[in-house]
Parts: sequence; structure tokens; C-alpha cells
Amino acid sequence: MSADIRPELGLRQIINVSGTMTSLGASIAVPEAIEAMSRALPQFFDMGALHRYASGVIADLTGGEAGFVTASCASGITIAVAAAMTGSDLSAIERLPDTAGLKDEVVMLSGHMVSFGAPVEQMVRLAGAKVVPVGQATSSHAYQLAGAITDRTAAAVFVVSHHVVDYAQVPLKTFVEVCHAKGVPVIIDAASEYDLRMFLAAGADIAVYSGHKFLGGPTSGIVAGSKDLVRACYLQNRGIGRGMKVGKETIVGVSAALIAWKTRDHAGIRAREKTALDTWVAALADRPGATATIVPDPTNNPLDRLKVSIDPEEARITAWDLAQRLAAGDRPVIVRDHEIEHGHFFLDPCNLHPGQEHVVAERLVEELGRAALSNDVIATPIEDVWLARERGILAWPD
Amino acid sequence: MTAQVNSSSNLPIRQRLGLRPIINASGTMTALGASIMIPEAIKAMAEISTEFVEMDDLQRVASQAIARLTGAEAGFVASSAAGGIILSIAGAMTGSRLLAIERLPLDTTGLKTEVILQYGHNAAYGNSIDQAIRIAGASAVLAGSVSSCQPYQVEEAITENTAAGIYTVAHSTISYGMLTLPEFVAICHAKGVPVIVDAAAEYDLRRFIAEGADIAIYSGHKFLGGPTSGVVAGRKDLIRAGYLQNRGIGRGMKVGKESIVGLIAALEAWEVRDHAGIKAQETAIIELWHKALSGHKGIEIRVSPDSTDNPVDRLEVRVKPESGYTAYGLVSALAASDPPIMVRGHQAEQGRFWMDPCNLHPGEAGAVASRVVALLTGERPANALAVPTKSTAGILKWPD
Repeated sequence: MSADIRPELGLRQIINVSGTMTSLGASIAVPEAIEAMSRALPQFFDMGALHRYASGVIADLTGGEAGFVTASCASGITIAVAAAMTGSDLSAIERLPDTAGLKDEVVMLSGHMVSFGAPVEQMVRLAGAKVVPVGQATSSHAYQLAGAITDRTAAAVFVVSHHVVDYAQVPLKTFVEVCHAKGVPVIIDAASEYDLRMFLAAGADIAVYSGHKFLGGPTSGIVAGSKDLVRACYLQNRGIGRGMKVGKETIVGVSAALIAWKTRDHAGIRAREKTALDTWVAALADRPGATATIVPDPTNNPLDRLKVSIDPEEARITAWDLAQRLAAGDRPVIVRDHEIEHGHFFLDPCNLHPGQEHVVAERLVEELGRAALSNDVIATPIEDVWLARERGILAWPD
Repeated sequence: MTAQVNSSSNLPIRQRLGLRPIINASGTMTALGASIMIPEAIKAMAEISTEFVEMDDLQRVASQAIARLTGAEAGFVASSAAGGIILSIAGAMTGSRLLAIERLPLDTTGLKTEVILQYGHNAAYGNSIDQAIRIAGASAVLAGSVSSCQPYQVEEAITENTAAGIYTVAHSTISYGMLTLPEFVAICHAKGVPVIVDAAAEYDLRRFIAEGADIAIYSGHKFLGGPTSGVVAGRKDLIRAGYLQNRGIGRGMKVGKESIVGLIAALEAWEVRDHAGIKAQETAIIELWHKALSGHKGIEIRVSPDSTDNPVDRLEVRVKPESGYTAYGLVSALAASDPPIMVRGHQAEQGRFWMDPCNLHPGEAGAVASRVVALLTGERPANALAVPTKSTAGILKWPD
């Protein structure tokens, strides 16, 4: 293992129990990907041929007819929507986001309009398409979907994510049936999904994955699906896809990660994750105000996380103040905090280096112990936390 | 094309992937995999690939490195120069207004949406500048004509709706009749309009900022020898606004930790690179080629300086009919060789091509010379007199 470059750059050596988050540098890249990237970087390639090679690898792993590598899952969505609008019409590709003469409506369930750092519907709009929302945030029906499809509908986008509203939505099977009955291709945003085959097997025309999440490849997006649509995706490199391009190193690296995926010791990895969860459960046992529950992944990925619920009166600290304190200091631990206002956070065991699970346990005990001594409950108003976060965003690069 | 590849094989990587081991005498071309990455960048990328890092902080480190190298106030790393241009335009439109950032591209409520561009600067580089402008939600206002642009044509085209001016520095622009950057800057700044310079393939990291550009954009993977990326340098408020597009249209154009760290390493290496030594090697290659190609019937050669003043010379090869080839025929024969040799053939229709010495591995310069000589002295291949066509048939068949 090579040296840790972070101190050299003056950056904190964070421990990631948040998940494969873009803002934390995604995942621990697999050695096969790193090796392939290092070997590819000094060489020249016919990029069309290299993309063709990657297409073969993606097809093999996903069961799709073809595949395409782009900068990110987000750009994969933009490009897939663009492809559904333009097909292989090179002139239309150059005119985007001007959609004159093209079908330019994209239907999406209202409950799928999430933000993953940016609004997912903006990725659709970036291609020049207009988003047609179906149903309400907390309910949608097949008839609403069917009624939203017109002769201007270019595609339907279905989002699989822990952020989507997880009840009363049109299920994937019905979504595909309704769209296909009207000749509308279905694009699945499966950014953070583990199963590379199920969405295409369920009838999707395109499935888009992150290359840098479960796969442990370099930062990238993988577009898999029907050959004519994937070709039309590739051709967007002559248009709006140019700024979303990937280099040789990324294509070679993600291909190596895909090949490594076939022989990965999935059971061994799960066992290590289980050990981490058990360590944390033991550390939190009998801590006043902290309740630990092992919870399955909300989108059925084969992984569990630890949900840590904090009772501020007993723990003498709120969940968000605890999360902030864990993230500070010289052993910063970044937890999964997207539901923090409900008084809980999650610990994700998927991105740990050996031994780090113990550091996480020590830090939990340390910060909870410190808080327990406090006379007043440590409770920053949550709205102040959020406003401070906004100010922080606007201060960059300071 | 087989996907069944033994990933533990020690074959050279292109062979392992079933890809042709091309020799690049063309230049730092995206379509050929850009440049030979420097070892410092490869090492840094491998090191960060297994570690987590707070990306905003990593981009802060990049900002400082970019500022130091360019003389600008701040900077950030984008997925590519093409991506950097889009984000810079969007930043000039939205500033730091987070909701406006989320509304782009088609909803530009309350924003300035026009971008001034000299007609001869609307270059195609895989896509085109005007499409980059449109992707951000703006529209291009083309000033002047393809062969000339006068100051008044820029000045009077600026309105209260003008968000930015874009100035392109590239071999693919019109090379005469356009305003110089200082002229363009003076006109734009007099009306409070920021200037964005597309300097994707330029060597001088300070010049455009020094000449008054508010933003200058470079490729990380051309002269710098970094990973595929874009370097955006400039005024702090505009850089911040460009970076904030990561919460909007820039999200799909994001770069990972490996690219940012690799680029920082490439920038640091640039500061201590043996520029004179590299130039001397390139000069030796040009001399080798010059000698090898001299005295062939119908072949005229000369050393030609770079068209945008980068400190690079190339060998220009003019191909006359007496040689038994057209320029396009000779370029095609080189590309069909084993190993394939890619030369700079974008002006083959004018009977000439260039050989670029910047992207060769040891020994390849000699292989290129030998192959050119063999083609000029041997039997002419069937397509020796081919004329250039603009066919898209090949690309439309991809991935077959």
C-alpha cells in the first residue's frame, strides 16, 4: 500500500463511515483499477477503440447489449436522455440543448425528484429536455404515468436511491410496462446500486451506475443497455457530452474494476462489514442516550448499517452536535447524516481500512463520554447548523 | 472485441485490452488519449485512490496550486477544459446565487444570458464553443465575420444582457483578422463584462491572466501531462461561482479525487520541469526526421513553429503529386502501419501534414522515420492517392 498523500496536501485524514459519497472521494479504489490506470496513463490509445473495449466489458457484466463510460452517473443520465432525444442524428446532437424537431419531454415520478448534491431533474434538463412530473411527492399511479406520456415523450427516468420517497410510488415493473406499451424507453438511475443486472433484466432500456461506488473504480459513470441507445450516448461526445468526457485512465480503470467485480470475495467483504457493526454495537451498549440498531440498506443492496439514535436529554447532546464533534479533531469520523434532524445518524461499514472500525468505536465512546459530563444539553439549533452549512458553501475557496 | 481479459496478465496494457499500440506523432489529442502522464501524477493518483478526502478541501488545495502557477487569485479543477468553459460561463451568469445555479440551463430567470464571441473564434474541438455556451443556458452573440473582427463589432454587441466575453486561443481558430486578447479585454472591461479565455492547449500558464483575462482555462492533460481534467484559473468571485456549479449543471462534469490530486502533482512538477532539456530532445527528433525525409521526390519539409506561439516546433511535410502520394494518402498509410503512426493531418486537404515530437516514447522517433522512408521508397499502397472525405460512417457504427 502506498503512502497516504493527504498530510502532504495539508488535508485531514478522515475516516469514512458515511458511505460512498462524492464529497468524500467516493470509495477505496480496487488495486486492479489503480494498476490498470497507472499502466494506461503513459500510453496512447485510439479512444474510439478503447470505448469499444469498455462497451464489451460493460455488456458482459450487465447483460446489456453495449455500454459507455462517462464522467459520472449524473452525466450518464444527461447523456442517456440526450441519446433518447437525438438517436444517431449528428446534427441534432450538435444543436442540443436546442431540441427543435425532437421529442423533448421526459416523465419522472414526483417522488423521484431528489437532490443528490444537485437536483436529479436538472440532469434531465441539462440535455435540453423538459421534465414532466408524474403524481405527487408521496403518491403516484400507473394511470398518471400513462396519462403523462404524449407523442412528445422522449424517455422516462426512474430513480433508485435511498433519497427517493420509498412508499406509494409506481413500482419498477409497472413503470416499465406502462412506458413500453407506449413505446417510451426507460432510463434507470442506479447510481449507488450493487446489482449490475437486475434493472436491465427487469426491462429497462438503459441503466446508469457509478463506477466509483460499490465497484471501487475511478470517478466515472457506466451506461449500459440497448445498442442503439448506447451508440447514441457515445455520439454525444460530439456534443453536450464533450465536457463530461473521461480519459483513457478512467476507461481502463473502470473496466478493470468491472472485471475484478466478477471475482470479488463478496461474502468475505460482508463478513468484515459485520465485524465492524458488531464492534460498534458493543461500544454503544449501555451508553446512556444512544440506541444502536442494525438496519438493512433501503434499496436492498446487500449491506447493513448501524443506526445510532440519540436521546439528547440522556446523552446530553443532540445527534447533530455529536456528528459535528465526531467530524472534528485529529481523528475525524464522518457519519451518514442525511436524516440527522430526526435525531439519528448511520454508520456505514463499507469504506473502512483495516482497524479503522476500532477508531470509530473509540471516537464514539470518547465524544459520548465527554458529552455525558455536560451540565447543559449540548444543543445547537438545527436551523443554525443548516444556515452555517450554507455559509460554508459560499465561502469556498476560503 | 472480447471482454474476457485476464486482468493479472503482464502484457503491455494495450495488448492486454486488444487495442492497437499507436505511436502518437500527432499532438496531445483527446481522441488519442491526450499525453504521456508524468510519473509524479501517476504516483499521486495511486496514493489517493484508496483514501477518503473532503473534496471541498481538496479543491481548496488545488485552488492554491493553480493560483501559484497562473498568477490568478484562485482556481478549481474541472473534468476537462470543455467542462471548465461551460462552468465558467454558468458562473458568470449566476454568480453565487445557489437557486439560480439549480435552475440552469433553460431557466435563466433574472440572469444575463448573452456571451460575446468573435466569429473566427467559434472553434470546433469535438463539439463547439457556441454549444458550450448554449449548454450553460446562454446564447452566443457572434461578433464580426469569419475573417475580421473590428473593435466596434464587439463594443456595440455588448448589452446589459451580456454575461461574459469568450476568447479562444487554439490552432483551430481563424489565425488573422481577430482582435488581440488585450484589445478584447479592454473593450469588455470598459463595459464591466468579464473575459473568459479558452487556452486549452496552451503552454504559458500566466500570460492570459497577465493580459487581463478574468478566467483562463487550460487542459490538465495536454502540456501539463496530468490526468484528464481542466484547470480553471481566475478572479476569486468568478472561480467560486464556477465551482458552485457542482451543485447544478456541473455535477455531471465532476472530477474525482484522483484527477484533482494528479493534476496538483502535475502542476508542481511543471514548476521544476526541465523545459530546456525537453525542448532539446524535441529538437533532436525534428532533426532526425528532417534528415530522414530530405531528398525524397515530391516531399518538401520545413520546421514550423506552433501556430499559437507555444514553444514547440513541428515538422511540416508538404506532399506533391510527384511523390506518388497525396498528403491524405500518406497520412492514411502511416495510420494503417504496424504499429500505427498517427500524424497531425487536419490540413491534409491542403497537401500537408505535421509531425509532432512532443508525445513520443524512447525509440519511437526512429520508428516513425523508418516507416515514412519505407513508404516513400517502397511500392505505393492502393490508397496512396486518396483524397480526404468527411465520412461519419465509421462513428455511426460504434461500438461495432
